[in-house]
Amino acid sequence: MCQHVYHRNPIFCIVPPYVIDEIVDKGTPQQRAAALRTKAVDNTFRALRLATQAARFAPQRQASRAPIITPQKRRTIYTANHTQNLPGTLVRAEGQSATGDITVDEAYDGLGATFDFYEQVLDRNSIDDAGMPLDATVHFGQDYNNAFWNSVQMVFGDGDGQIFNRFTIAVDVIGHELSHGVTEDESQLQYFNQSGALNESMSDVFGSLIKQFLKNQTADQADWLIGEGLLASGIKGVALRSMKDPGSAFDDPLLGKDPQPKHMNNFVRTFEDNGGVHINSGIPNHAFYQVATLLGGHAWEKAGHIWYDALRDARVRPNTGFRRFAQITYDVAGRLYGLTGLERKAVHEGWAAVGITV
Amino acid sequence: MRIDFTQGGGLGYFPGLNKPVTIEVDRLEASEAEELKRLVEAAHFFDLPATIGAPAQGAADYQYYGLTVEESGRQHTVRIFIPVADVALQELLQAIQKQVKAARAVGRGTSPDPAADKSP
Repeated sequence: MCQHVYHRNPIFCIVPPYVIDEIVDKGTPQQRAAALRTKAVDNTFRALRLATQAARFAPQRQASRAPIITPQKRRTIYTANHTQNLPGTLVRAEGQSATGDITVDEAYDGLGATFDFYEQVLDRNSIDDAGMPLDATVHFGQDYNNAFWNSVQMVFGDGDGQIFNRFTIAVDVIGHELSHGVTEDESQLQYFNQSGALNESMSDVFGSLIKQFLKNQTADQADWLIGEGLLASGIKGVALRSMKDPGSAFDDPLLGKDPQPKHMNNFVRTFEDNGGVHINSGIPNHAFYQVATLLGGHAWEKAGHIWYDALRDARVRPNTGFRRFAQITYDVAGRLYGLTGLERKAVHEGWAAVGITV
Repeated sequence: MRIDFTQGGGLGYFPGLNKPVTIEVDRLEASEAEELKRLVEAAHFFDLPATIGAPAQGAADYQYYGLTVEESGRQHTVRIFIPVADVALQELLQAIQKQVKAARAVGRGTSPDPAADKSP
């Protein structure tokens, strides 16, 4: 429980908060740094409490959904005008022509690419499969270095230009955020520890597939990067993450080194990052890359379908971890393509490459 | 006055950006120190609850900041989830992040060096 991503530190265990405050106040610089980090990781426990609480009071899922004959995009882009007010002021609604503001237009096009992918490839009508309108707010905050999904819409910062560029620059990041909505609709994978890393990986998998579909790339043509172009010039790195080679996306004096593992032997136990949701996602990300590459061709055609059907499988619970999900993908591959098919074998080998036996 | 800053969450995990940074306010240039103190006052920092905001169920990639301000023997810690509705708190965060950025730019992190929090 007390293993940290870099080293063991007894402060991370059961030290009461007031003692940590005391260390922050009177400790040596090293002790202060460790204590401050401990205060930060409290958020993991907060997420745990929130998720458990919310699951208990979650409303019943709708038994039937509104019938919509032809899936239609309903995109709305707002600007926060550099404030933190959501959703902000409407700047482009569905069907309106380009505004000339590259951020607005990238968001609009990215929402469109995501909608098209889900509709044309996976026969899904928007995020909730019931025609949910797609809303996004751009120009959020001042020099804001992030993009997030707030459970009803997407939010994009402009980046500070020194570490990050505008967050609409990469279509896979837009697809990543919207896919959090799909995962929430289908499985409610809790956003901490392995289920959280799986949740993150789902967003990377479908985010990357949306980009590959848009560019009509085969598995061997794709770069398998998440957020290419997002790191500002001067930062040593190519993207936020690499599914092909997790751990290799950046190594920079300011950002540090990409901490993603690509094998269970290097699984990171940490209380930071909601229990390593953006760290250990490297493992299922790489398994998907392996499966898609083994199968060849367009990754969305077989590997993508297997992963999508697995996400929708009733056996996926909010606390599902890597091994259970891997087993489900294996079962789904057998159901879709036959028990003796190459597809099922590829899924077996893909997970084996990251240290998971199915 | 001393301010400890931490940040977490976001679209990716960047070890360098998750390191805590300490700002020794009294060692900043006088105008910057005064401005930070004014903003701490304007945000009624010592009266703020321990946690501000919370991610909704199903939200992902959200960020949060941790601020601890110590002044004249009193200390208060606040955890803030984005978005921040309170404009005074937004301004305080903006000013603190400017100092954090300056400290990180020269790789000083939590260094107690008197010049640690000045712009390069």
